[in-house]
Amino acid sequence: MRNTIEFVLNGQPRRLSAFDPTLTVLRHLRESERLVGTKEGCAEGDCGACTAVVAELDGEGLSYRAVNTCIQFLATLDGKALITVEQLRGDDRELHPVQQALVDAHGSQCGFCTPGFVMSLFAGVQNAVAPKRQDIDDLLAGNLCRCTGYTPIINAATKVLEPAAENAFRARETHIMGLLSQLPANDSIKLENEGRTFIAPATLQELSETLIEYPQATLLAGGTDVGLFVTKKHIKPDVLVYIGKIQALSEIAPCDEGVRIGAGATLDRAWPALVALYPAMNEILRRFGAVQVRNAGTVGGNIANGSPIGDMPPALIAAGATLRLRRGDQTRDLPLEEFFLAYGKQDRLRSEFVESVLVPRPARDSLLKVYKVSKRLDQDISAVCGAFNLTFEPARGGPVVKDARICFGGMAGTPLRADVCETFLRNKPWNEATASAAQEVLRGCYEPMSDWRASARYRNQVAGNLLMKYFLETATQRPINLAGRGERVPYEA
Amino acid sequence: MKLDDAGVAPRVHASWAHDSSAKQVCGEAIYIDDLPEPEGTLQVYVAQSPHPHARIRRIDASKILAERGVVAVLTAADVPGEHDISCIRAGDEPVFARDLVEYAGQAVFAVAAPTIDIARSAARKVIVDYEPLEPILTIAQAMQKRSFVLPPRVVRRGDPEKALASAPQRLQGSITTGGQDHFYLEGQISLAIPKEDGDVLIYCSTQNPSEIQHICARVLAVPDAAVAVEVRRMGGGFGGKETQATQFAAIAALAATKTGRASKVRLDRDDDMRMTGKRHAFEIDYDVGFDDSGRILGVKFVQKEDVTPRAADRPNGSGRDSCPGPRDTWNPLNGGSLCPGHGL
Repeated sequence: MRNTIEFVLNGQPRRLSAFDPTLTVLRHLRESERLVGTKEGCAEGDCGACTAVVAELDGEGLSYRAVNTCIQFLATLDGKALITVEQLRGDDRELHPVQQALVDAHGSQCGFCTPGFVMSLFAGVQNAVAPKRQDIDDLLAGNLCRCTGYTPIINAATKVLEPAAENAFRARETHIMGLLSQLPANDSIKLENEGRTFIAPATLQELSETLIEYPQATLLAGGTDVGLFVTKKHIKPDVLVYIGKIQALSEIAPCDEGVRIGAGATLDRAWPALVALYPAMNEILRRFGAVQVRNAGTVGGNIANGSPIGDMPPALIAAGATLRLRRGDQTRDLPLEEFFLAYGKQDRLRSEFVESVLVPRPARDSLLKVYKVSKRLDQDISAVCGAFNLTFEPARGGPVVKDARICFGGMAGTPLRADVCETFLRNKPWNEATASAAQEVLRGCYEPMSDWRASARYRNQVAGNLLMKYFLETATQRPINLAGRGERVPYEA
Repeated sequence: MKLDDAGVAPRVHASWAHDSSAKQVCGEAIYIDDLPEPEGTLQVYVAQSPHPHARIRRIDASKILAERGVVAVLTAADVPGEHDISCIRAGDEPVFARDLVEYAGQAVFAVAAPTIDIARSAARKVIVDYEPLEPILTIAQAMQKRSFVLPPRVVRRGDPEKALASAPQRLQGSITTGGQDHFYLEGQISLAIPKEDGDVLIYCSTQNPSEIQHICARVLAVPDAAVAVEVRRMGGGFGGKETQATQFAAIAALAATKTGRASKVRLDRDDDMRMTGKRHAFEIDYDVGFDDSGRILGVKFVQKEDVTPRAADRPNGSGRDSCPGPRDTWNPLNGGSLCPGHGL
């Protein structure tokens, strides 16, 4: 077991040991490496000023992911390459095309958010993001700028995302790949420093054993939640067990029943597999945090942390997903909704962990829709997230509801199914009268709280409205889009 | 670059990159937290009141002074000069709350240590004995208690009462607007470096370096010449670093002069959001008289502003004074009120 981490920083190898396992990449960059181009704006993965790009070996080339360094722990960089704003200039100090485009388009004013935008755009260039407005908006949704009003930045993006000319960075890829291929891989890590421990098992077996030895451990995947323990609550877990080095946990495996998503698979990687089964999940994933969050956060983490306002659980519960938990050699499967017992309390035994989630194929003649209502369109937490999955049976006089699965986030202390409303809907004709009556039943299913995201009254109103939206969309077979991105599609009877 | 006949570069109708842009896109533009810190620089954590309104009976920091690394604890008692950072010298903005807390998030004391982690965790161990008092949290409560920071001010033109009374049509109502934060991306930050003879050099992210200089000199009880303030650039200000940067510059300067070591106050986002504010919530009652074509003949506004209990936080006037509208067409009456909100 290794007691060091090894990674590549701006084209130079680094080997570190004896550091606080909760040290963030951002603090390491700024305080130890004196790479101060990367900024702290919010320290919670929201503003993107701290964005840097992680590169990993991927087949014959490198994959590039923009991440929020403010909440990413340094130890999770093991085996990877980190590229910061300082590495983009050419050897003759010429600006990278992304940098030049921002200068030319007057894309910086106070300049504090600028390095983050540079790095998000750089990742966009490396990943060949199309220079279309929607794609640019999505690419930059995780970066806040207070000065420019964004137009000059979008102009710069439009210009620089055109099929790119050669730039100095491309010549460095071979060098980075060479260094990465020399790093140790597939071994486990244990770091100890001043009473705190970081363990990164390499296999599922090792993870199981580690959690039996350290039942009090905090499990760490993408760090988009655990990172905030440190930066916001100022609580440092004594034992961190990082699952990011376990190949088996990051697998996304299509199977007869549907697709099995490993607990360590990032939201970004799980996205296409989920959308292949349920096209309606596209919008919820597009609005799940933003690029940097989806590049780090995992489907498993969004379930395991038990939040009442995570966006994946309502969608997955409505789809009928099954959670697989493991403790030692024992695994057990349970319907996802049964995992959430109460606010802050999940059906997870000591030393047990989420191994995977099985998302089934849609039932015949069913239609799943997920709606997210939040104050901001992007990079925001849901006030209400509603998922509807009804199965219909054709009948004379119109379709009849055969089965209904309805689940809401933001309406209770856990993601919660609307059991009474589901029962009410079964075997009813699917028409406006049924939908109207079901709205009232649905509003009786929940006692939401009032907080700064929404009042209880608003949440109840919206929950019922979303049910009617689902009805109108299924009745007309047309999506309704009254606000937000994309073409406006009003309801037409 | 094409020069004109006189050999002058065209400045008008030409697009120029600003002089920092190339540095900014490379991460080479220096903000205060990017400056190399002098050896032994102390990080200062500013501890705040959890109560919106309370009396401070006692602050006991004796335990933490023995903690590893804690170098100094600063309270109101450590202010040698004028204990007021009000930009209008109103005497109602102490650096640290003295015996009375007037809003949640008000600075009560500060801890200086080699790292911010040590300073923050030590601050949690300081015992502050508060006697919570009943706060005024809403405009309605303030109106009921007639609790105003400054006396109401009335702006009037023409004869609004008469215009309203004789108008063919009339509407009354009330609108509210929420408070806002300036949300500069770079939080409040000051780095103070002690110089000889009690002088201090303050690197401060501020829109008003002169005011920082004058007020810090008063707080430190030194001549203006003993305080130098340097601002290369800010990571945004938007008005939020005009008067609000003063407190953190003053605390950094107090720590530097007390310890003889460079001292940095850098608020993280949460502390910044709690401690600063200034774009306040309004409640505006209106009574408008107009003719059948919709032309306004007379209008009466009562503007109530939910402010912190500081006179310098008064409305900048634009909200109230721009309401009168087109000259000589309305008969406007504006009554303004300032209601202290202990909750802010």
